[in-house]
Amino acid sequence: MCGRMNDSDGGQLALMDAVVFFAASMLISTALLAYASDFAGPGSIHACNDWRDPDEVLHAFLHASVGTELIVNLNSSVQIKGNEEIAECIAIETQALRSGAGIAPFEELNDVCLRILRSCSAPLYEPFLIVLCSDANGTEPILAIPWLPENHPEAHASSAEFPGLVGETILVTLILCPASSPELA
Amino acid sequence: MKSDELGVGGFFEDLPVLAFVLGGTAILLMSATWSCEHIASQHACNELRNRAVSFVERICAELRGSRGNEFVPSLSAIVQLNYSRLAEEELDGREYALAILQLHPSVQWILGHPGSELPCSEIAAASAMLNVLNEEGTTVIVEVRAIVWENE
Repeated sequence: MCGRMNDSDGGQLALMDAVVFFAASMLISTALLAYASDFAGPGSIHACNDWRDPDEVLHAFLHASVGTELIVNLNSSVQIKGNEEIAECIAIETQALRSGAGIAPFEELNDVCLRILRSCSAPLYEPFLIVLCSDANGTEPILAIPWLPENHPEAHASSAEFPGLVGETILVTLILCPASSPELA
Repeated sequence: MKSDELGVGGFFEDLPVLAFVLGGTAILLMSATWSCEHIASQHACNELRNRAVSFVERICAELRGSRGNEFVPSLSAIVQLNYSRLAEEELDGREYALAILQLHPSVQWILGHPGSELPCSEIAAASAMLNVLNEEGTTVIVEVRAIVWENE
């Protein structure tokens, strides 16, 4: 191990090559890891519990029975026995609201609708139901259970159409917003 | 042996070169191994997830029969359905747990299959909602949930 160092720059060139190889391998590794990370899995069981398809929720909601007895006090009392389809009740409410009735007689029915929607939606999502009518003026909703905040966060939505009582088409939109948003608090 | 001075300087300069080369190779091998394992595992997860979804869809299709989405099956049809046969056909021997819950008008447990307690490696879940007619003539909302897993 004795002797003096050779001051030729051949060794430096080898070191340079090694650094370039190292940098290239880092680059390839990064690309590989980024590519592999794109293969997202289906999510855990918790993810499955935390999400429900708004299409499914809306379809099940509209075709379900009200499930509880209610009395709607319009000009004459309308009794809902509990076996009526929710879509049918929404059609009755829409027709009454369009004829100038107030929302007050329907508050109990709307509470039941909201309770059903909450039980069907995932716990981390808050449901909002908006009802529009095909022959109504403008695009203002006739009914909203409850009203959607203006600056609502990113949401998932689904719509369905069904015939109203006097031949109009009722468009119902279900919006599922993340419940953790401050706008919904 | 050749006796000149070049070997001495070369020895000390080759160590950092060797370190860089070994380090680079190790990083490359490790990232390639991890990527391959990750992609294979995600493929297995997706396959399992597809099985879980098709199992739940098959249950809903069997309950509705050929009458399509608008048909409302009865609660007794849920109780009478042969879930083991459907699992055999859809899950290809994989383990599963099944729960059918009523969500509206009240939350109620309708039916369940607990599955085995064998340790599992991969797991996937799927759920679907459908309307069902109960004994009182009320259309209730029912959720079908399935968890499917591979035994270790």
